[in-house]
Amino acid sequence: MIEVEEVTFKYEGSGINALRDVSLELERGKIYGIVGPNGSGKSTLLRLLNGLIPHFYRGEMKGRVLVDGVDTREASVAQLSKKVGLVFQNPEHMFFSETVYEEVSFGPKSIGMDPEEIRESVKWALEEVGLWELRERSPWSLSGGEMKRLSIACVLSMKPEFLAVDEPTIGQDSLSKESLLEIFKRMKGEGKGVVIVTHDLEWLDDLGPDLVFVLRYGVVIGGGDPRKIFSDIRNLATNGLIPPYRYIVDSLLEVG
Amino acid sequence: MLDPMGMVEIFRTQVGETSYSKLNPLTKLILFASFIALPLISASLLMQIFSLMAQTPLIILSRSERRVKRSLKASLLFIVVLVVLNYLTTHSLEFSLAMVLRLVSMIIASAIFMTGTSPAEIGDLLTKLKVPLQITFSFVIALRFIPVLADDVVMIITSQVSRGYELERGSFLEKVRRLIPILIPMIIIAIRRGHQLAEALETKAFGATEKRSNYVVYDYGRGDWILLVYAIIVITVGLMVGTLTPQFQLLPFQY
Repeated sequence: MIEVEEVTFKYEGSGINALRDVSLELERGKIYGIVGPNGSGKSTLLRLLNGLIPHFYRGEMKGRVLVDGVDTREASVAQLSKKVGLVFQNPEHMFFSETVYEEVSFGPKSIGMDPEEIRESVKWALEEVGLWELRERSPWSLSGGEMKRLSIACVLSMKPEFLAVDEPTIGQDSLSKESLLEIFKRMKGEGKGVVIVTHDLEWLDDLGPDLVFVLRYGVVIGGGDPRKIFSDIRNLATNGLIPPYRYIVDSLLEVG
Repeated sequence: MLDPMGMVEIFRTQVGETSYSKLNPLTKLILFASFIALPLISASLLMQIFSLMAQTPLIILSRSERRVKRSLKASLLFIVVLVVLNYLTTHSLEFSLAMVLRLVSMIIASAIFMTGTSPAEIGDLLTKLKVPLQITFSFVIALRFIPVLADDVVMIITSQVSRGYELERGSFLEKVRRLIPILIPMIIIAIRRGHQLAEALETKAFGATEKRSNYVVYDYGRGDWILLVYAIIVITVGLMVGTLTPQFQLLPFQY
């Protein structure tokens, strides 16, 4: 379980808090959606989960984050990466290997897995995202959607218990979005906790999250059942979010 | 102690509304050149102390105290290496100290200039000084892309660290070798950005005419004249300090 306890964080050199008194509990086997307008602190929240904050990003942090009872300040990002896998918005930032296979094996090698275990987990991760056939290709030769799935495989291969994904649908076509839905649903089925940061609510609705949190100015202004959150059209719209289509239709029918 | 991101910060232009940023770019360039030249007039400790002190008004005017502090903190490793190497070769602590202050003085001059001058201003200035457009533009683009690439490097490092990669492990050589997963994506991203920029410039008709027009007019205000006089005074005093007879110099040294 990941427990975020009253966390306030301010980046070095910034005059405002990126997060203010944020408290959340995230469990395995569930999908969580974190939504909010640009600059609301969504990505900052993800960086807290795997210890990039406070280990890498400088700033003032109050409160604490516990991953399976371990304070993220007490463990290194490398140690936490076995528990929480963070998938970044831009996959290109991580690629440097000659082949897809090599790229996916980088994480398991870094955390010191056995060679046999590495082979097994790389194959599993590539099959999960449907890229096993492309394992000999260069990561740079892949399409945008394939790169995104490769970045997920790179993290999955380390067998984390939680998957934290930053804006997975940006720049993705509908086919790619569809395959991402399947991957995350399967991860949930395998007992992993999936935390998705997005402002694509239509896609998030299709994913069927168990809980959705709304962030604004670094504060969690709402959280709970996705149906309740998505049907509050006025609140979503004032926060710069477009509600899922079916909820807009329902609302119009009610008015009618 | 080694803070590569802090070192990148030295070159990150960031213009706020300060008395310094409102100056004519030519004044800023003259001030920058003066304070780079000043510590080079003489190697005496007195000269270095003078060049540091003389920059204080500019630090206040440009409100760059934080930037100066960060730049100096980032250069700490080089400062220490410089002191040690100088001491080992000259056996003179005074000389080593003077050389460090010379470096510090130049870092401060760069930090002030970069805090208060936008790449566009530097470009306009170079164009007015008849520097060929290709060179001016390349220089401006390089400056403008430093923060972009710096942000890319941060994202690359965080991506690799999140994959369990530890940069700070092993001997010095091992640490250098461990930079490969950072450098390769950085180079590829930089090349791609360069390519995209070239395409964007083509679509915006860059180089279509020999003579580009310019709509920005830089005035010469009272502040500019005051600071130009200040630069002349500082350089004059610096030349006088530099030509003092050895017995008047503070802690003179022998080559």
